[in-house]
Amino acid sequence: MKEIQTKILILILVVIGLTIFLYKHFNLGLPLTPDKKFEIWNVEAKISVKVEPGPTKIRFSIPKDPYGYAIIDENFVSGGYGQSIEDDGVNRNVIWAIRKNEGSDVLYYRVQLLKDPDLHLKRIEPKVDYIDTPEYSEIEKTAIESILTEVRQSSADVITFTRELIKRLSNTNNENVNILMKDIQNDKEYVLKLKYILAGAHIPARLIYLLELKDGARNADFVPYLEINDGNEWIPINPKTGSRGIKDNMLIWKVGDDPIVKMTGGEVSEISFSIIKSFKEIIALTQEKTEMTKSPFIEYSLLSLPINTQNIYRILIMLPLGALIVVFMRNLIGIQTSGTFMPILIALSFRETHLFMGIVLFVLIVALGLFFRFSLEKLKLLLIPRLGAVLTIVVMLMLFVSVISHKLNIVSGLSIALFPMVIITMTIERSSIVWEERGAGEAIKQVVGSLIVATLGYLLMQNKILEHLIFVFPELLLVILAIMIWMGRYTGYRLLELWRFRYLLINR
Amino acid sequence: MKLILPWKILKKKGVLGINQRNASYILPLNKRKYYPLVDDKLATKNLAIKYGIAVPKLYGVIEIYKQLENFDKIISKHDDFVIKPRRGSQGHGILVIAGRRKEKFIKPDDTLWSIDDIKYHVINILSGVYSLGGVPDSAMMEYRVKPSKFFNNITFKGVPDIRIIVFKGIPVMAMLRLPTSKSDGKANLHQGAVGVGVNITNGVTTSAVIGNEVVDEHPDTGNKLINLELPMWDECLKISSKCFDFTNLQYVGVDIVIDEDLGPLVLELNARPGLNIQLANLRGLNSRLKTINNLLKIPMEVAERIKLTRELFC
Repeated sequence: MKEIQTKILILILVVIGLTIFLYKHFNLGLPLTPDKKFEIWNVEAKISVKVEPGPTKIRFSIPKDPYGYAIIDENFVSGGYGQSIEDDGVNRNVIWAIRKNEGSDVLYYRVQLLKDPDLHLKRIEPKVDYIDTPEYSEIEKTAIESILTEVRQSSADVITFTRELIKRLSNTNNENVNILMKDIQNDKEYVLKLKYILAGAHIPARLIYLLELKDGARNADFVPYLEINDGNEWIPINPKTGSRGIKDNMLIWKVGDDPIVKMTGGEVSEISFSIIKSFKEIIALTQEKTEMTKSPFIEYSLLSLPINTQNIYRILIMLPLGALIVVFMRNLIGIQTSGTFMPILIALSFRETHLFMGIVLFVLIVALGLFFRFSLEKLKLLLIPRLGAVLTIVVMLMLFVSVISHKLNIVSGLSIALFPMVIITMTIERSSIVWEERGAGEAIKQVVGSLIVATLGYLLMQNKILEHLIFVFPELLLVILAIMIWMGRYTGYRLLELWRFRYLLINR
Repeated sequence: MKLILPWKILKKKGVLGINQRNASYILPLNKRKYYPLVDDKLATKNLAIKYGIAVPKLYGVIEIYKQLENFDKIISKHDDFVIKPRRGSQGHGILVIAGRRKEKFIKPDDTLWSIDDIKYHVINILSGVYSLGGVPDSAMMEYRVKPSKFFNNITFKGVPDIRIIVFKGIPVMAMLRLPTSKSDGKANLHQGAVGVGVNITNGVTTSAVIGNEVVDEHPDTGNKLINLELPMWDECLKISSKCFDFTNLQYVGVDIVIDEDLGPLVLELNARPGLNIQLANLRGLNSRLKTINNLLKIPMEVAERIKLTRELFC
């Protein structure tokens, strides 16, 4: 009876799982493989400041809804500074404040941007209808009016008007141009002069700061750019060529001509930007496509979650696969591990350290930990304080390994944040007892068994295709559940038992 | 040549694998609620006494650190004794004291322990170092078994014990475990003790293994291990069968020692007995379990059940 119930349950789970899976693939067109790679740009701004005694306030502009990019993550490193973010509808600023004695500080702003060419929000803020002509001086007025008259004759709208103006202004043989351009020192002043002249034709204009996204750039600088308003929206115009739009590797950092960073109670000694490009596989599921299908399977899927949350689920959703490996290795193969699910946690930490370094690190720390654990044995400590002491030693060992590997320029040693220290501590304690009671062989056998399972788990859990499959088709977890239930009723021999009972094979 | 798959042979020989032991026997037949009776050695001891089964005498129990003050009093009348965790598993945490020399205590391997060393061991037991699941535990001080002279020639120090698998109250398979120098005087097969298969019907030894190697002689004493008749075998069978009556466990391992003065004593019971007994006997357990499963009725009387053992497995 139980057998039949189990079989029916397994069948139901597999049928439901596969039906949803096939439906989503064939009817909704969800891809079986990660087919699109997305560019992710990591920008880090480093602001070094000299602080004078008394209150200090730093205002730093940060991107807001940048054109062609989506902010997927950002964070601030600001030491003891109080921090707030203000949003005036056009720009965002982070404000850092502190009251302290003089000294120097370094503040960081890090942002992760997803390049999304489809993401072109209309830039309408702030709305401007009409602007007055500025009060030009006599000489300026003559020059500007004469140029604007020429431009007006050969243009149809504000965009062509601006382009014509830029063309005229690049002609250095023109008397009027020379009058207007004589004290222009840099690009920013040039853009501001354009704005000044355009105001004479009642065309609203503004300066924007662009950051060129170049992979590996260490000291990127801002490019001043021009935007004009056609009564509808703000349109970026290249102040050098007059062409419309911005290159897709340019990021709009800030709107307006006031400086990127302002400080009271001290001075900014240096500001630098470093930029790194990376790729991420994200399911090619455009907004419109979701609108089109309106299928609850997509509307209520993991894909509807914010990218941050998605990234966490990308890891979590692979855990059942790791558990499957543990079940398989223990119940079908018969490998012994120290702790049931400890190998999965080790496998998870390999994501950070990578396989080889992970194994080296694990063996190193468990071996050193065991050494200290046996030394502690002489002190005859109670169980819980002893576990606490071993944990402390494990943490110190990690610090030590990180510092040493950093000095030796082995970067992986640093990325052990996820290394499950508590689990390692329990492994050490358990191994030391097995060691004492059953001998070193048994203890080593269990640790090696754990490492084998962890390695297999890692190889499976970091497989991009499997990750994609389970992430896009979480109903496949039902199939994994079915396999586990089936293994739960498996009464056959374990592979290693064939070896264990080999004498019964031969004799009699 | 015909290829014969190894698992087919094992299956034909009725060898029980760990998955099948768990799924076909332990999970369906051993009710969880009866586990505490065997996992808690103090409860087992009390129940056994109630049912008239001989056990090593209990000298005292230490449940909390404070009671360590009484430790000296508990052991004051005894030169030798055994300390074991109340909820230990697989023989972990058992400390044997064989005698005293002035202020020190002598272990079977002739090392000397101070009273503080022993107290530290008790503290470790209390913290749950050796208990199932690491829960806080108690320590039991009890009579140290003097093995029957019968074993003198075939054991190296330590106490040999007899493991009998009892299925639905019927003893089905037995093995004798003999400590060796390699096993450090412990009757633990993992550590190198000899596993000796015993004919369940008459208590005569049939075969012996160390690890996975078949042997004829004890590695330390060099004496033959086969065709020896164990003393008081009837009594052993009776005791093991009786253990079913108070544990209600359908599939249980009974560990018995034969004391020189007191005869067979039940050391402990096991709700998940291991499978090495098959290696020692060079025989599969599953076929015997199936035979019993196919019986229409199982007698209530212990004597009847033992008669059944003799009829079925001769």
